[in-house]
Amino acid sequence: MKAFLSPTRLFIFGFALLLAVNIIALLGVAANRSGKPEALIELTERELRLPYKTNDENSGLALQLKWRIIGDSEHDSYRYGDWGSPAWFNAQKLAELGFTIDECTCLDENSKRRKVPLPKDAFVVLEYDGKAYQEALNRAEESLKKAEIALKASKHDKEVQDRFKEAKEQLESELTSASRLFAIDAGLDAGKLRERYGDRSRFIIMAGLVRLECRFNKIKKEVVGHISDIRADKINVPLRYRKIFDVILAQGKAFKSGPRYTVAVAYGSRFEPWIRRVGQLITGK
Amino acid sequence: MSKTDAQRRADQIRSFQAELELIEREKIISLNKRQRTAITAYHEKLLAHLSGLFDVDISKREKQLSLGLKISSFLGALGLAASIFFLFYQFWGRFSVGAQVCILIASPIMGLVATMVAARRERTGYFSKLFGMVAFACFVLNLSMLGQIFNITPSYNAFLAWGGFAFILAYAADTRLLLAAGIICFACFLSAAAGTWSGTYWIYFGERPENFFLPAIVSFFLPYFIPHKKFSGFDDIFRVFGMLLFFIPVLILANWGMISYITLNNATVEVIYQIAGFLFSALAIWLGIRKNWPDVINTGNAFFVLFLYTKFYDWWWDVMPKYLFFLVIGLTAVLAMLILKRLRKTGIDKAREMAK
Repeated sequence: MKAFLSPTRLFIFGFALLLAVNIIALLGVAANRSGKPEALIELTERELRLPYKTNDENSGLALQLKWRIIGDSEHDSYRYGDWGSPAWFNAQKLAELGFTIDECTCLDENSKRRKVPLPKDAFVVLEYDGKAYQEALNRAEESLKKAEIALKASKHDKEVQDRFKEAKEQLESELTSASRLFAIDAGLDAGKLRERYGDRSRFIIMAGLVRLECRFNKIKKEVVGHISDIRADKINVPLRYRKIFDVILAQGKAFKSGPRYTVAVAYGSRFEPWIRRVGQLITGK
Repeated sequence: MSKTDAQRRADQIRSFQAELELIEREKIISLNKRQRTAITAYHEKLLAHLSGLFDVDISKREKQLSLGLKISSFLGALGLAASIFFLFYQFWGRFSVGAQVCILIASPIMGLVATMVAARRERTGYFSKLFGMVAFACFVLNLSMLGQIFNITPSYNAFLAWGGFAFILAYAADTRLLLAAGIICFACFLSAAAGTWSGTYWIYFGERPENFFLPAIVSFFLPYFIPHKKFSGFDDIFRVFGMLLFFIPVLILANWGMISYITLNNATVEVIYQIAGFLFSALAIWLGIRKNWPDVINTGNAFFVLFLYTKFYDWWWDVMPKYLFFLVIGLTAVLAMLILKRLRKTGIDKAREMAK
């Protein structure tokens, strides 16, 4: 064995392995970026956020993709990322995604037969500035209207005043700063999802992770789906696009009133994103 | 012969010389001049040969210095690896993508070249081990940073590449630490693959500890089929890691049946794994004694005690006053001492009978 594993031979294997692995990784990147992009979408700071704070020991910069869900109750329209369950993610959708739902699925926490369910791979469809965003906007407007009526009825009630203020801020946020990117569907076949959501400048299909959850309330137990992760939700900013972001970061102002940049993001055949173009916006527009 | 075997032989010669000196002083036997010269010449020649081949420690002082070198080499490798990580993070945002990729690919290659040169120039191997570990850290950085730069979806195949590279470096520089890193990476790869086959996303492979049983079996039995006599302590590392990869999941499942693949009642699953824990740790002790594998005996002992004390905790911690609980623990240790003493006495009696 020692002869076969002679140091010289091993070092040659080592070089070969290093080169082969790097070539495979770079070929994968090239394959992802070759041909027509799977999706090409222009997002703004509302959907792609700068990090809250920069790290002196890390000079790299990545933008964080902010996506939301619309829940089934009117209070569920403000949720970001993996908070809560989308209204469309019901037991039927879970079954479509390969989850087994039977009498053991939502057993009580103390049940001796309860098993911890594991998440599964799935493709998630994100819609940009579409019906889901309109629904969120309508809900915010409706909420403000209700708060206004309540305020007219009892002007001096502190709780009602706070609710009105909150609803107003919420609508303002929906109009100027909240993400317009919503998870609207999930499936196991990316091709079929693309057929259903054909507009590549509005719908992104991304690899993600879905979980089964049990919702317990006073009346019933309900099985719901939950998107626990969207893969590649951090997009690296190459040096040639850094200037705009460095200027914004140097100002040290938090994002509040309106997006300060646009980013054209392409998604390749392996659903991995890269930045195609960055543009600056005049603040507040 | 491995360096460990050579060192053992050198130690044996030193012990023999000391014992012979004592025997002669007590006037039990006395060698004549010719016999003494022949033995001394043979030993000196053998020690010179071993020293030339493996750079073994001939004196006690050399041995102490070697230990210091080993510790320094380990700490140096950790420090250099961490330094490379932070150095890259500090400046990578200031480089173009092309430069980033070149640096990332070049760094493990440079580490490998340094390992190769050090292995050829220096027989002790301390520097080649140090550079080997740095090369491995550079390769981990290489793949993980390529993933960040190009927003690549993480894949468990990275563990296969890291494991393969760690194995290559471990065999080339005769380094147990890199062998351990290789085994861990390979175990993660196999467990993630097993997790994926069962329909889970690979990052969650740890949520079903049974995924580790396959790499545990592979690691434990590999030295049985492919002995590594010419590498220092490789067989021991394979066996110990095989046992760790088996017993840690069993210990977890013996307490949390709800994360098992087995669809039985959780309490039943826990009992199955508790029995398996006791049975296999006892089996490991027996096998270790039979095959003269001290590492297997010690690991088996450690897990047997862990299983036992976990069970004691389950049964009695809530119902017993603390003084009584710890009294039971102490008495169990005394009982274990009595059993081991009896076993030892039986062994000595057998050896005496055989000597007669």
